Amino acid sequence: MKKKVFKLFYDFEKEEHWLNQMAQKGWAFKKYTPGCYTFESCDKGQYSYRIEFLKHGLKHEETKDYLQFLEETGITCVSSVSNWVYLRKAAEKGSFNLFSDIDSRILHYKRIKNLWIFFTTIEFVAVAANLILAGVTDDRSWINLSCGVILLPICILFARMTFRLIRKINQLESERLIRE
Amino acid sequence: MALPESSERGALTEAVFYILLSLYSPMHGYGIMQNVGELSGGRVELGAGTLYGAINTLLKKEWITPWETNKASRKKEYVITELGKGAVNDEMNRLTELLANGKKIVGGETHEEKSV
Repeated sequence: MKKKVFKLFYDFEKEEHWLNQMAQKGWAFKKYTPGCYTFESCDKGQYSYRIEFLKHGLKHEETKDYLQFLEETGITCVSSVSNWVYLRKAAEKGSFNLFSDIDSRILHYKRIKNLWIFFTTIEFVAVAANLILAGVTDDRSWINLSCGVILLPICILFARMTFRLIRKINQLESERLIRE
Repeated sequence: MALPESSERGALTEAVFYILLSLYSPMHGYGIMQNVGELSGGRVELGAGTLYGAINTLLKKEWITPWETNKASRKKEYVITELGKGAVNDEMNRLTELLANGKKIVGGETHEEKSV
């Protein structure tokens, strides 16, 4: 049995948590297309999921090598979007954590932080450009004004995500001063 | 003036120490994960991502090297090098020092929890 769920996430850890909850209820995540998750029925808690943001895209040699390595440890890549991969492991093969020390968790968070900084900057430039245009042009400035106003909350959301990641990284870095 | 390599005095991470110990006999990635789990009595569970990163760093430092087999196995195996064994010995000396100082000050026996 299959089902599709339409949902948007911007926090990958919440998304990961949700996929694991779905698996607990007997729905194995199969495929992601932007905004839509496809599930197939499975035994309750048959799989656990992790989401990773890779350094390179799927076609890069290092990524192929890495996914092959994961495959050998019982981890399957079920779906992907650009550098994001959805990884799955059968629960019977043991607990599933990709990162077991603080350093590698920091590295992963930093890659994602850089992505959000990139998005936040683009949004910020778009908002600023629209608002400035709305202020200086006489005709049709209401288009720029409304674009700016619509984009502003998105920009704030992205900035919040960036700061949340920066806080997590800082916490881990201070933890690392006393343990690994 | 560049310092010689041996002046690196940083502690090895627990993961790296156990990976190097595992590779005294050739092993592939999954084998390392299982071996480290067994060695530590289930305490250390290496994450696959962490292990992959550590293997690549250790290959670059030439502390481990790919192990060539005749078997047509897809799985890559690795083995520790002399350089890697040197790092393990240095780490053991460091740990011995830590343990000796700990025992000297805290006492030889592990204290049981006195109050619960």
